[in-house]
Amino acid sequence: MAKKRIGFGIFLILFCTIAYIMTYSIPQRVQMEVSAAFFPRVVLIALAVSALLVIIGGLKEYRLEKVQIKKEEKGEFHYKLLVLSLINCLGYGILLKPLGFVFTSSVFLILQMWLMTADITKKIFIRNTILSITVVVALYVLFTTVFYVPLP
Amino acid sequence: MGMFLTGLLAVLNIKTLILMIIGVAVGIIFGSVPGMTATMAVALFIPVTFSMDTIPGMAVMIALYVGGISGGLIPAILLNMPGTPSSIATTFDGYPLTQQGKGGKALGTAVVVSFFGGVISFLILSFASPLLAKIALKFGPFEYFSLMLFALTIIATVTRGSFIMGIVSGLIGMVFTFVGMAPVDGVDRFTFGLYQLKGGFSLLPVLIGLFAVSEIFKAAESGFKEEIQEVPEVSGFGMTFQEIKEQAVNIFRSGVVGTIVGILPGIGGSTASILSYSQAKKASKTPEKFGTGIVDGLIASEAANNGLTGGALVPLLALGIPGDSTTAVLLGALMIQGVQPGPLLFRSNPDVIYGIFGALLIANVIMLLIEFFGIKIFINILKVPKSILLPIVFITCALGAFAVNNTLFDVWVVIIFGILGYVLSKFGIQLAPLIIGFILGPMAEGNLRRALMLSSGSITPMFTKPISLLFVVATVISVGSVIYKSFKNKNKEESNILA
Repeated sequence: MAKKRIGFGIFLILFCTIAYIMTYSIPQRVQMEVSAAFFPRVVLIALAVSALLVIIGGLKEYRLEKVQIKKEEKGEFHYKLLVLSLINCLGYGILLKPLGFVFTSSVFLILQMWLMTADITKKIFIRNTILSITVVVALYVLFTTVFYVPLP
Repeated sequence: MGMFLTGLLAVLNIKTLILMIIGVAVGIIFGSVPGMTATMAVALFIPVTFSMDTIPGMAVMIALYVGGISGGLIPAILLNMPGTPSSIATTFDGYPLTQQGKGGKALGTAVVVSFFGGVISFLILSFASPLLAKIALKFGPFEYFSLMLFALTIIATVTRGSFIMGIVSGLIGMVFTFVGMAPVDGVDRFTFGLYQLKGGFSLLPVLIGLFAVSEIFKAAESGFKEEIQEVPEVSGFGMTFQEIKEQAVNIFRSGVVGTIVGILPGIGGSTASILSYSQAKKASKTPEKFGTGIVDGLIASEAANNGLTGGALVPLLALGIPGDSTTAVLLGALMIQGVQPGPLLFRSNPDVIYGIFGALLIANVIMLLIEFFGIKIFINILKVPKSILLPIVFITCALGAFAVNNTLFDVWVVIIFGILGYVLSKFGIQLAPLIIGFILGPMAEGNLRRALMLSSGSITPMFTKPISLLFVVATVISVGSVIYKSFKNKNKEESNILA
C-alpha cells in the first residue's frame, strides 16, 4: 500500500502541475474582483501540498512496513472478469445510441449476468435472458409512455 | 391553532388521503431506485395535479416529496447505494449494520427516525416559518461561504483511517466541479472545446457512478463470489421505546440541523444529512465507532434528511425562494395552481399554507406506516443474487442519469465515474469525502466570488459579520480538534509498532 500511495502522490502532483498551468488559459472577465481561475488554483495548490504529505506518509509507512512483519492475506484478483465487465460497460455506452435502449440494455444485462454467475447452467441462462428482456421492456414502457422520457 | 386544525381537516378526507397514500408510495419507489430522485417524482406528477384543487394537488406533491426523500434509505442501508443524494450519509452506518445481519433493525430505525425528523421539521415550520425566513435572509455570500467552510470540515469527520487521504479525496471531488462554466461569470473552464462539458458534471450521475456502478467492478475483481446474505427476522419497528429515549437528543438535534439546512436556500439534503452525521459523531462518546455500523450515525442522517423536507418549505412559502431542487419544482406546481408564494401568502391564502403544513404531517404518518409494513418486503432484496441485482441497478442508474437532462453524456458520466470510483478506491481514496467535496465545492466557490465582488476583493467582512464569524470560529475549532486527535492517534500507533 505504501508504494501505491507514493505513486499516487506523484501522479497527483503531476496532475496538479498540468492543471495549474491550464488555469492560465481560462479567460478572465475584466470587471471581476476574483477571476474564474482563482478557486481552481487554490484547490490545486492545496491538493499538491496534500499529495506531498501523502508521499511523505507513504515513505514513513514504507519504513514501518519493513519493521513490521506483515502477512497480508490477499484474495484472488480476477483480471479477466474485471476487464470483461469494463468492456461490457463501455460497450453499453458506445452502442446505446446506434442500437437503441431496448437492444443494448438487454444484451448488456444478459452478458453481465452471465459473467457474474459462477456456475451457469442452460436453465439459469434462459431464466436470466427472459428476466433481462422483461426488465428492459418494462422500464422502456414506463419511461416512454408514463414519464414521457424519450429513450434512444 | 385554529388555522392549523382547518389545514389538517382540509387534508383529512378520503379522496386526498388516498391520493397521498399513492403519492408517498410512488415517492418511496422513486427514492429507492438508484438513479431516480424525489425531484423526478414531483416533476413527473405535476401534470396529474393540474385538474385537482389546490390543497389536494399540493398534498400529493408533498406526499411525493416526503416519500421520495425517505425512500432513499432502502438501497442505502441494504445495498450501500444511496437511492437519492440525501441518503449518502445513511450508507456510512446503514450498510455496515446490514453486513452484521442487522438490516431489518437498521431499516426500522431509519423509518422511525425519518418520521421523527419529519415531525420536528413540521413543528418548526408550523410555528416559526415567518421568523426563520427573516433569519435566512440575513445570510449573504460571506455567511454562506463561512458555512460552506464549516461544512467542509465534515470531510475530516467522515474520513476513516488516514486523515490526509480524506482531505485529498475531498479536494479531488472539488477538482471535478471545475469542469464546465464557472459560477458567477459563466466562463468556460477545462471543457477542452467539448460543448458537452460546458454544463459540468451533474450530481446524480456522479453519485450513482461512484457509489453504485463501481460496485460492479469491485464484485468483478473478487470473482463474483455469490454471497447469499441471511435475511434477518424483522419484528416491530426495529427500535425499542428505551432506544428512542436514549437517542432522543440525537434525533432532536439531527431533525433541527436538517430543518435549518433546509431553510437556507440552495444547500440541499445531502449537505443536511452529512452535516448532521458530523455533529452526531462530534457529540458521541464513541466517535470511533461511527462508520462501523452504529445506529447513532444512521439516526443522524435519516432524521436530518426528513427534517429538511419541512425546512425547505420555509423559504418556499414565506419568501417564494425554493430551498432545493425539489422545492423549485413545488414552486412551479404552486404557481400553476394560481398561488404566488411569498410573504403575502400567509395573509392572502392561509388555508393553502396550513393545508400544506397539514399535508406534511399526514405524509410523514403515511410514510411511517407504508415503510413499516414494507420493511418485510424491502428486506427481501437481500435474497436477490448480486449477479442479477447489480446489472439491473446499472441499467436503472443509466436510465436515471439519462432522464436528468435527456442526454447520453450523463450515461457516460455514470460509466466513467463508476470506473474512477473503482480505481480511486484501489489507491485508498474514500468516496464519501470525495462526494462531499463535489457537493460543497461549487457552493463555496460561488459564494466566495460573490462575497469578494460585494466587498471589492476584501475578505475582512468574513470576520466582522457576526454569523460569518461564528462559522469561522466553529471551523477553526473543528479543524484544530481533528488535527490534534489525528496526531495523538498517529503517535500512539507509531510508538506501539516500534515498541
